[in-house]
Amino acid sequence: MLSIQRKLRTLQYHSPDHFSLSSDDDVRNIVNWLENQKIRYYSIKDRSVLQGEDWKRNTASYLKQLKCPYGFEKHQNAALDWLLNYAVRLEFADQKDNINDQAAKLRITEDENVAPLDVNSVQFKNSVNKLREFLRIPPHHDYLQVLKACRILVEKRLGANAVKRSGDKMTLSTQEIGFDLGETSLNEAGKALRLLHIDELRLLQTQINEAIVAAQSQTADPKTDTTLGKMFGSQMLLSTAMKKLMTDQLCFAPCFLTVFISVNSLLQGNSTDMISDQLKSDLLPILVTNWMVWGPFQTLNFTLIPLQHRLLCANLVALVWNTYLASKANSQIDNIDSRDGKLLLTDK
Amino acid sequence: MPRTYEEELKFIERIDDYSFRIKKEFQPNMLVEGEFFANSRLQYLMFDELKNHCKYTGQGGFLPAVKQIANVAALPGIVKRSIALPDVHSGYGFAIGNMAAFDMDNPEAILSPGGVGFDINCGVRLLRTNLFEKDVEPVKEQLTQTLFNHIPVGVGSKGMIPMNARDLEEALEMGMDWSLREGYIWAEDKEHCEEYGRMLQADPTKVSARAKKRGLPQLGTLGAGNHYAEIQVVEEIYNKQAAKRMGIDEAGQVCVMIHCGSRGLGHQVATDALTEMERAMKRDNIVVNDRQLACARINSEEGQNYYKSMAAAANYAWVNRSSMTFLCRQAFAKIFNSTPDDLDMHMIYDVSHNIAKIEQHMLDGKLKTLMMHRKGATRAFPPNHPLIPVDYQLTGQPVLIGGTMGTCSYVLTGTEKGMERTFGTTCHGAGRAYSRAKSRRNLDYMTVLENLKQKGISIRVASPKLVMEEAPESYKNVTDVVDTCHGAGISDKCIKLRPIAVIKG
Repeated sequence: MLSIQRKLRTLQYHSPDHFSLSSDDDVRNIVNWLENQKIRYYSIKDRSVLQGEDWKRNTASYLKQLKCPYGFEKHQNAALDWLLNYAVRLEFADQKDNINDQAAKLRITEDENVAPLDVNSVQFKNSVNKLREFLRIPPHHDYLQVLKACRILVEKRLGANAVKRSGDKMTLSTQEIGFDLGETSLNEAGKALRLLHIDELRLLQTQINEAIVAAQSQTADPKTDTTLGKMFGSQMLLSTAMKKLMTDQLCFAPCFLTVFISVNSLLQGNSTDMISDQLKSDLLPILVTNWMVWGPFQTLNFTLIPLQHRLLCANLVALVWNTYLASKANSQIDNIDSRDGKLLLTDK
Repeated sequence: MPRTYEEELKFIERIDDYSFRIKKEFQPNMLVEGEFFANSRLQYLMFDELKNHCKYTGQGGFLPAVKQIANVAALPGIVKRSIALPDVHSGYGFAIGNMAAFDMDNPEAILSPGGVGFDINCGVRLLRTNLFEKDVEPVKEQLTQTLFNHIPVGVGSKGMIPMNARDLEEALEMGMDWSLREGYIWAEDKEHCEEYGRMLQADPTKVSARAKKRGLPQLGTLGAGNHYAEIQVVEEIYNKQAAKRMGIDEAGQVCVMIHCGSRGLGHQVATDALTEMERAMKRDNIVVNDRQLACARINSEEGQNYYKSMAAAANYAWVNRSSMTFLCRQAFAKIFNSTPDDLDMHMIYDVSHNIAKIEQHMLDGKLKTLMMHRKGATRAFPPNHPLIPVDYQLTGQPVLIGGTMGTCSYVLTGTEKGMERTFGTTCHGAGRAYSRAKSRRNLDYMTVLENLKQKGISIRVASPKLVMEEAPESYKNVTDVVDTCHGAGISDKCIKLRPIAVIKG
């Protein structure tokens, strides 16, 4: 009876609360209303058969045509219920989108309804109590405290992190308490207190760690010096050696040789024009020789020879190299002299 | 007239399946009894050593371990017993693997450098990762090489972390707080370290200039001897709950174990103290059974000087391990192209097994303040002890047992029984079975390296010709040692680890 009323209300029947299933008139009115307003199976002129004297028989054949599984005479109520369902289905098919939209709007308004919740209402108190019983939290006279306890429990035990950790369950009975109070219940209480204490300590330790990390952001500056480390032949070592070699030969050598030639020439009393001339003619050949001598040697020096012996080795090679540079510089003087002569001649 | 082996045996009696008592008459002046732990295989080594000593009296470097345990029991101020763990073997003065407690309230009680050892605060640190063996296997060789490049090893190696004299002074005083301040380690590392990585009694001014000179360039180096860094995988978990607290969830997880100490600085501190103490002994009329047991009263000037300088050396060792932790994290981050944070490279724990500390213990129902000497012995506090990190309050302190090269390592946890029986102390490693000289004579380094290769262990050694000193054959079986501790109840087995890569001095 209730479900029929509800369905009638859904279908917006004019008087869903005032009818009786035992009254033939009421049933006939409903069937007619359904056919006229919702189902529209017969054409309009044929519908009158459902209202006439023979309406019961006609309704039975009408239902049979709709393929209702219940006979109208024997199971009137079931058949009526089926007819209502049928009508609801048709109604829904007609207004599907419309209804869904309304439902979505309804959901949003429900959320808004949370705010003006009356916390003092009896209904609210009862709900809190039900939740408490469900979560197996011990009772407390202040139901707001109970709600708070529920929230903490849900957050800590049912949150995403807690579910992830759910594997490591510990039982109270397996824990050692470290002392004996002589009574089981007291020991249980002692254990519970100890666990709570550990939880507090954990929180404290976390806060200490946070403080340390905050301080670290001011002071920390970890450094490593790879040249201090003792390293053995590895790929990484070769690449660092090559980097060192490149720096030495591409940056240092040209600068040094330029300065050497210029200063050498300057000290011999040559003019700036002559120095630049000399640089143009001699720098490149000397640099090429430099690369031929120092390139292979520094490769060996950076890879095979230990740090503390590198300077000594470099100095030994430098002895030979400087002798070469000196002889080169002297021969340059001869060259320059002869060229000077030529230059003077052409000038004249 | 020295006693024969049979006569000596009368003074040693069995307590239970795992322990023996050494009676007070074994050595002169014994104040308390001695006790040592051993199962059937380990006891054979102990008695054999004594037998050889009786046969060829006066030969060889050290006294047999049993004699050394008894000599320690004759030191003034000792309480309860002189206890030796299953990995005991003879050392300088005290046997390595010996634990002795001295009553701080007794004015005669002594402190002995021999009871700490030359490598002050030698210890083991274990880092976990979230990697598994299958992640590491393809890059194993590369990773080993990178670690080897990052961590300087061998005699005379120099550290990669730039330090000047002032930094060293601060490091000696602050311990791991220095590393924290400079940003080499994480805040959580300090939390998971014995003593929180800092001995508050440390006084750098008591450390000689010579010691500092030796220590300065060596900071952040592994050193030689039995020190190593290993990449290990979890082979077996005995206590799932405790392992989980340590962040070890299942077998196959990769860990890094670092075993090293205070290098030349600690050695120099011990040597300096020994000469100073010989004078103090004459002055205070302290009589000992063995010249190597040089000691001084705890409250004398020499005793205090040593304690302060030892604490500074201990701080140095923690900084040293922290620096290597940093380098290790860098190496892993480089190979796996990630950050140490993302690799979850947290420190599980850091234990020291050569140290003297002031601790409070219950003795015959009374609270006593004791000077605990642990030489080759690890602290193993039970659950609920206030001095262990909050994370391990329910499981007991993790005890890291570094096995020999190429065998396996263990993580144990402290127990209540161990607290009662051994003042919360357990074994520290495998323990030598043969002396260094004997293993050099008997083994060939090529075969030792070949054996490791066959086990699939990548190895990088700075001085391969000394590798046979550290071969598994020269050591006791670490599994026997750990099983004895587990059987005697002084600590419980938790995790077994197997090495896949070794870096050694």
